[in-house]
Amino acid sequence: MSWPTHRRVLIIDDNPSIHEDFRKILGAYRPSQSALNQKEALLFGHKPQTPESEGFQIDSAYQGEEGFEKIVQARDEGQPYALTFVDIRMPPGWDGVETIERIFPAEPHIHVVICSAYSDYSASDIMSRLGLCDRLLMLRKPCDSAEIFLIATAMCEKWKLGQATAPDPQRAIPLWNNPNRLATASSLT
Amino acid sequence: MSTTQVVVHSLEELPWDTDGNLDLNAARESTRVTPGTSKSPSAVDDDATSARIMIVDDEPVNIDVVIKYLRSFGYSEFVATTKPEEAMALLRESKPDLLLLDIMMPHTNGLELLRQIRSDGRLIHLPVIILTAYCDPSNRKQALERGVTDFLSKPIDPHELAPRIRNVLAAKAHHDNLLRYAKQLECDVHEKAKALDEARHSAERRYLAGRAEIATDVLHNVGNALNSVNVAVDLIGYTLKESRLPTVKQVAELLLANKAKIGKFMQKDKRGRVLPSYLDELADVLLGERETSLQEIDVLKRHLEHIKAVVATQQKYAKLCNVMEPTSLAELINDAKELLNSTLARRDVEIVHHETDAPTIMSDRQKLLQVLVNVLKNAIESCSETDSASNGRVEIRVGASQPNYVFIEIRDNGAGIAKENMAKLFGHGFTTKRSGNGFGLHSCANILKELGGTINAKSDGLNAGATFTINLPHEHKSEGAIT
Repeated sequence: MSWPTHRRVLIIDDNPSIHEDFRKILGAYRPSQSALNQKEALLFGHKPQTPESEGFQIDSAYQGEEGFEKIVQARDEGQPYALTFVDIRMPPGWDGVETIERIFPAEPHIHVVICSAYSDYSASDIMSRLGLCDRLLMLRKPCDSAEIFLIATAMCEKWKLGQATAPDPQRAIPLWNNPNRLATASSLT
Repeated sequence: MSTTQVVVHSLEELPWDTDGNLDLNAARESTRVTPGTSKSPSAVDDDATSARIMIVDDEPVNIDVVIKYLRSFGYSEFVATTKPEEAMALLRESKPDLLLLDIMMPHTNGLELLRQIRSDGRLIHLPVIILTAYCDPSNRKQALERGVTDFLSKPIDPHELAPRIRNVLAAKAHHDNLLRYAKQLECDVHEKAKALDEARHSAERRYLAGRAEIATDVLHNVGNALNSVNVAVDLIGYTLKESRLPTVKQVAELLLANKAKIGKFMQKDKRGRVLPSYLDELADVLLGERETSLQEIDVLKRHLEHIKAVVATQQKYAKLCNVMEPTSLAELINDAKELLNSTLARRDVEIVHHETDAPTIMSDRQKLLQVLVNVLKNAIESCSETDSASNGRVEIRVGASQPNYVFIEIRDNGAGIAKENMAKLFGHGFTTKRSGNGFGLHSCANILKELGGTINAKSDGLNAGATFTINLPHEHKSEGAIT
């Protein structure tokens, strides 16, 4: 199968402002300036300093269940998400932890970043429910734009690497050592 | 929580002390009635013959006679001794319903025995019938003063014996009934008071939990808004920093460098030929940057307005929530001290609470506690900041000030207040603490104002200690108070 050249990111949060924020941070609003760069190279003879990012394809879900369904759909269509940012508090439906508990077995390669405010679950609660693995990160709100940008870049690159070294995603064994989950994970192999 | 204590005397089998105070917990558990009488003491007449009768007489013959008489009338439980010195112990052990006491016994003053009986809280209501061969009026008078219940002359007339005993036992049964009823009532009151207190505490807990829940939501709300504020500011910053504006300077420099032959430069040079379209595109980009920044500033404003609105609502809500309840100042001070335990321990400061009759007032307990903790903490901390060699000491006094007002005075021998700071003390943002945010005294003053009270400070200057006095009304009618 072919993997997408775009880096698909799904934001799962009940607050529309947060979606706007992510789009700004992940560069959805930065216009491509390659034409200008070429002219500048000619005129002034120097290379432009702004690092060029490949960009992200950003989608939104406003409830946990909606996010889960979008991830499953993307997987089924052969255009899986590389990364998802999940908020914890999303009334009235599933909270972030519940959502991720369902996402992990369904999408063994997706990378997850939990966005938590201090008043939510404690870190140890989250770790004991979701387990430790190479695909789970956590950020505290309010978030730092630079951190989000770097994390998104790194996680998507890592996802790409993962795809490259495991040609058949169905056969890849997720590195997931939460004993409660082993049964579900192995059922995918 | 206050409990009522009623002194109850009873011969029932309950753990109580020699002062006759009843152990309430045991009282509740007790279902037994006077030993020797029936389980349903309301049936006085029928079961009176199951009473336990004690006889003290130095002549065994007399005892036998009495017992024989009484048996013939249906009584069957007897306790007797010819040794008056054993009488008290036997009384306490067998707990009879009635005592027949011979008054003339060698080596023993029957009246003295009676006195001992009446001074024991457990026996004070024991019916005592004195058997006497003498009709000496002064003897009878003394006996009556010592609390004798009735007399029987010797030799005993059985026809008089039975009715007197029956009457005395009937009176006692009524008395026991009354006591039991009173005791039951007291238990009920105690139970109800406890239940009420529990309910109040649980209501308080739920209220606080509700407040905490709201606070968490507010925090989440404000947290999200702050997130957006952060991002907007970051984007504006990024746009300005990465702006292509500096290249305008470079364009100018390029033109200036070729000023002499500008026409040729513009028409023949590769760079000159691309310059006009570049400038046009550059202008679009710069205008785009400005547009982005202006939009982000709008977003900023929107979120800041939102935060302002949330905070304002919370302030209004907090104001409406004065929960007025009876507040014991003594308890409040103890609570404050407990909360500051660790601060106290760290700083080796002594707190002296001059306990007097601290009144109970109607006020918002939680808020008052906040104020008290704040002021007390200041006092404790100032003690450890002083240069003086003497130990840190904080004195707390409570009392009545003007009619319907109480005061709490907190005096410390610490760092004191400089003269020039006195006027600003309760002002917003004023602090002399390195890590202070000036929130404390100002909000204390505001809270007290809301509760109809005042706070003022006195100090003789630096290192001369300070005294803070809080004045509060017994009851304050404020708007939006919840009682």
